[in-house]
Amino acid sequence: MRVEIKMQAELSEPCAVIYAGEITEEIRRIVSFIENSNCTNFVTVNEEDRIYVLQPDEIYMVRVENEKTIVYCEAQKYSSGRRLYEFETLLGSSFMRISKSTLVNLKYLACVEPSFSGTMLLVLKNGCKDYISRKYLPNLKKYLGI
Amino acid sequence: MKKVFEKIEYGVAMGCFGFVAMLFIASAVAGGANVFMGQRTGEEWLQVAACFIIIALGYSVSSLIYELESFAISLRVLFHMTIGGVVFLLTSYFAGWIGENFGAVMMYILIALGITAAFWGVLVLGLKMQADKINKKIDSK
Repeated sequence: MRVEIKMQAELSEPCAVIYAGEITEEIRRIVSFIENSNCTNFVTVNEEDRIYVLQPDEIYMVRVENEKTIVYCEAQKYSSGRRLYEFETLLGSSFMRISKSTLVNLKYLACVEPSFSGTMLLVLKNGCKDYISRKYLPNLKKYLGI
Repeated sequence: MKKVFEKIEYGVAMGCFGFVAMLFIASAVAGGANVFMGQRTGEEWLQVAACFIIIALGYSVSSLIYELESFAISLRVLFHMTIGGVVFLLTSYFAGWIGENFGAVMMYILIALGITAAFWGVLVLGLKMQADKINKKIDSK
């Protein structure tokens, strides 16, 4: 692969753009490496053959569905090859786990609803919903100061 | 293990509360505590108290099933209510509370269903109050 570095004084942080004819395994590895380096705070997600770059603020919920990690934004959803625990580490304290399979952005909590099953249903501002497991409910209450 | 002890503690507390509440209500209905409590000996009252605790334990300990999230919710509810109801009926039978005729047995099954529904109602009401509290905090954030 040919590598070229362009110096631009007006850039406040480094920005990487990869030109390629197709997405190969090598490109995925490079993207993953850049993402995991300390100078970044974004995540990449996939939709069909396209890779999108998201800021953590754009993500409402990350959930494992049929063994795939699905990233929910305000209106769109994407898939990712990353595991949920990787998202948990990458997205930091503005996100919280509400069950074994779901991570939510605390900025977008709308309300909770009691369910007849004896658990709470968490609703996000974009309408996404998921049950809060009993194990993780104390963490949410602690975050809210209850 | 901590959860099991919590449930046992909760069950014993609920059983004692239920027993005392029953004494107050039944005494008032029967026309006085002496009239009502004079119907049984001290030993028999101790047995009644123990039965209340066993029934409450049946409902509280079996609610541990909700921790097993690999099971479907409907299955967990069914398990919880079945175990609770069965413990109630068996305890009532061995305590001699259930009469031997069909009508009395049916009446007890209805009472068991009523207690199950009441237990469920308290659980949902508690959850609703908790949800209201959480929603207030979310709104204020």
